[in-house]
Amino acid sequence: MTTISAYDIVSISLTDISHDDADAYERINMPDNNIALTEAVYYILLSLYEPLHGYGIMQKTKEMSDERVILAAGTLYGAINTLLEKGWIKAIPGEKNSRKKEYLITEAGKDAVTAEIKRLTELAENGRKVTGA
Amino acid sequence: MKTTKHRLFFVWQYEDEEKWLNQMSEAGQQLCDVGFCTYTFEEGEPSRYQYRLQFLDDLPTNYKSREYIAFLEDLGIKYIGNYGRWVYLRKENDGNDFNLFSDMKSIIKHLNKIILFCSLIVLFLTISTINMAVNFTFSFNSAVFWIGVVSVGFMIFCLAGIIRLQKKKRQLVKAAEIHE
Repeated sequence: MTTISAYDIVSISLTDISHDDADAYERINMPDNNIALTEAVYYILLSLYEPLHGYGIMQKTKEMSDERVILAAGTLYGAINTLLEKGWIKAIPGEKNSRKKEYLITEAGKDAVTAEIKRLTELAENGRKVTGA
Repeated sequence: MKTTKHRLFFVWQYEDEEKWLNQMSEAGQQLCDVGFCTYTFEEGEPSRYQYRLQFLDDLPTNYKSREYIAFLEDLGIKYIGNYGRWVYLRKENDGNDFNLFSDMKSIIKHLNKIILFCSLIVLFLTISTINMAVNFTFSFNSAVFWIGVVSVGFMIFCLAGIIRLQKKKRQLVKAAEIHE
């Protein structure tokens, strides 16, 4: 009986994990302007209109959001790598050839930000219309 | 002055381990090195450091892990040791919470990696138990019998740990349906 439960648990775990990938596959095949950006990604992109390194991105985001959005290290690292893969930001060699890598937004990234602002404006306007705020 | 403590935490008890390390820090003992079930503390200012554990995709010697550790270094997070793919990290206490992840998706991804690892352990134990069952002799004198009992017991224990992690993950997934 223990063996059966072990198999169940293992297969459930594996399907759980593969479901994550399934979602990502669907999302990749959707047009970009229909996907909402996460707050972390949005603020990282906004911070990188000027070249900045990891710590700088965190500080700038904290400042822009009035201390509301504090990017944690693991989240920040994952998001930066995803954005590099997508080609929305690019790595540039840091000043003084230090080990610190700096990043800068690309044209594709800027397009994504423009589309996102449009989406957010639509959300805010509808919200105000309905609630009369 | 350094003191060494020995304590056993299983893979799925990593949050209890974090809590214990932070409690030790509050008591003035700052963790500075780790080994197999071995924790080395040094005397220091109470609550000077905050501690977190992370389960990496690869060993800390791998170049991707080294890049990540260097990235953490730039953010003020120091790597003080590892046990396999588990890395022990600490940061100077600045009054704010120290979290490695700030969004649901990342936490769930991290949890999934741990669950997968535990599941592989259970899978391995299942295979070895079946192997032993083939030569099953219900005899209290047989060494194989007792090894079998112990491995089945350990397997059940691991399954309980996995179930605990799955429950936590289910909570997070539910929360992720509403919040980020």
